[in-house]
Amino acid sequence: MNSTPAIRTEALTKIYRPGLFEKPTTAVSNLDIEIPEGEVFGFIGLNGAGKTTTIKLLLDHARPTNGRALLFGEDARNPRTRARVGYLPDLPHFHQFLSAGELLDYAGKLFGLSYNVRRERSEKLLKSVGLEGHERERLRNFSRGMLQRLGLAQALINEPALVILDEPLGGLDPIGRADLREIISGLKSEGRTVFFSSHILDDAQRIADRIGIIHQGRMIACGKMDELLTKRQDWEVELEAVDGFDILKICREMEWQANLKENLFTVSVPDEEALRQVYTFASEGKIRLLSVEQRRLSLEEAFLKEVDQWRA
Amino acid sequence: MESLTRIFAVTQNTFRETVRNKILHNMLAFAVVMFGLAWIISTWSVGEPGKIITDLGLSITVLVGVIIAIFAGIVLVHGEVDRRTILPILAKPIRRWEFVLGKYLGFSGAVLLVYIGMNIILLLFLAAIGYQISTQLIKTMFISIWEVELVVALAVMFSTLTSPWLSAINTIILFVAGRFSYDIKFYLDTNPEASAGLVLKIIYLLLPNLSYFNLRHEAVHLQEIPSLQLIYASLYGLVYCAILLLIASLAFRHKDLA
Repeated sequence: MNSTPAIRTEALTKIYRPGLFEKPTTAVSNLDIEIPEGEVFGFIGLNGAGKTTTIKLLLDHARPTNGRALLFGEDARNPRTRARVGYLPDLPHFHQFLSAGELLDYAGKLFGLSYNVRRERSEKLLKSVGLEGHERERLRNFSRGMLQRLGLAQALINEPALVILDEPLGGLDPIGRADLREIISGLKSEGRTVFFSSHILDDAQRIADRIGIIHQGRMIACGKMDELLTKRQDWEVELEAVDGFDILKICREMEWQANLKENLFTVSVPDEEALRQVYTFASEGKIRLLSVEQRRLSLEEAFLKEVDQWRA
Repeated sequence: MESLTRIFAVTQNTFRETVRNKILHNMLAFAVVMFGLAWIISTWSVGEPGKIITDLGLSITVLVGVIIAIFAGIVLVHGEVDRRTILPILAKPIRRWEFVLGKYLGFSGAVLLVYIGMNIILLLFLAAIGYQISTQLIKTMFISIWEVELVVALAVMFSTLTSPWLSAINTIILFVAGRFSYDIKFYLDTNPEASAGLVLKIIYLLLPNLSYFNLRHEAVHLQEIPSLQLIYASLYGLVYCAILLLIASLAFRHKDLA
């Protein structure tokens, strides 16, 4: 694998100065990211955290106040770097007077693709995003979800090595989101780098290899999913009661949560002391233990924890 | 070569956008109605109807061309930024000056098409009433294209700098000032000792001199138009448009996109 990262930012900072008498706003502050080729990186944060501004700085839609952004080792301000990049904007807006086919053709021309290549890829991409048969339809008739899918198609017209997706899951129905997750998995298996921003944490957790949490323009946590989703104190135990042992009564007394399904109890055990009690029941032959697993934070919990820690 | 391909892609897309714009169709219909009115007025007036239609018709074509140039031109770049359609375009390996030039060429091409269409309709009107089409008229039609193209360039430049309303106001002010800029020269020639003469001279040099492109008098009264005058006026128009586009490109070069 190439050692040059697909994305690298060094103390990247963007301060907006709206007017003479208005207070400057720091949208991104001293952001350092390094994303190797082939990685799926999820960039999560609340609305206004600085996700879209970071993407703008990566694509030279805005100029950094300080620091710099590099794509494949080259300054992101150089238009040449974008030849290897595909981009889906947040809330994709395209020319309403164009048809889906015309939009993809236009995108292909801007990459200097030949007519045959444009035509072949357009057909393939429209099919892969589920818009087959809509090639001649004007975009003014497209729904939000269809525009999102088309946006993804135009982002892939140049078969990019790096795909930057700004809130790609917004506006999609559950099937659309599942399709998109599949497309992103496909991109990863082809060795492409994917950088996406999202506030839909469940999907981000499913897709990303690594997550960066941005809050008020600062990266407050960044790491692999395993590192971020640290272990919690509680345990999930699956067990069977032996010889009519009333485990539900015990759970009620101990205030443990329990679910019963086909003679199988799933018990939420709050701490290690309670877990020792469960092992005692097992050693006394009152229950048969099937599995014991320590719970992990969900990405949402990890995100809120990091934000709370940062605020503190 | 790659640069030309990208410029052409933007040009083609902008041309398509403009010709599919209903404002353009409505203005073309408006021009035809105005030609009809010019014909009615010519039948009521004392004088040769052909000359009256020529005079009014040439004014109508320029006026309609300028209205299209201003009201569609002022949103040309600003509209792309405002509607955020520019984001996926500038995420591709295109330079900003290529985008501005492509937008200008596509839009001015569409305006040119409408302008030529209006002039052909005017010629057909004149032919229908039996008026002899003169070379002066054809030359006047040719040279007045530059007036419209220059207003297109002004509108595009302001479109990269400011909001549509301010762009419209600025473009209209410069168009009107450009129409009268020759009067500044006349004043300076007749009053060589005028106070603030240097300032007036600078203003005269900076303002677009649209009188170079207004040969309506010569067309109506069949006065000689030297070919050198056409070449000089065309070069002036070309250079002025190039300077305006250069300013637009420089202004747009580092602009943060919302």
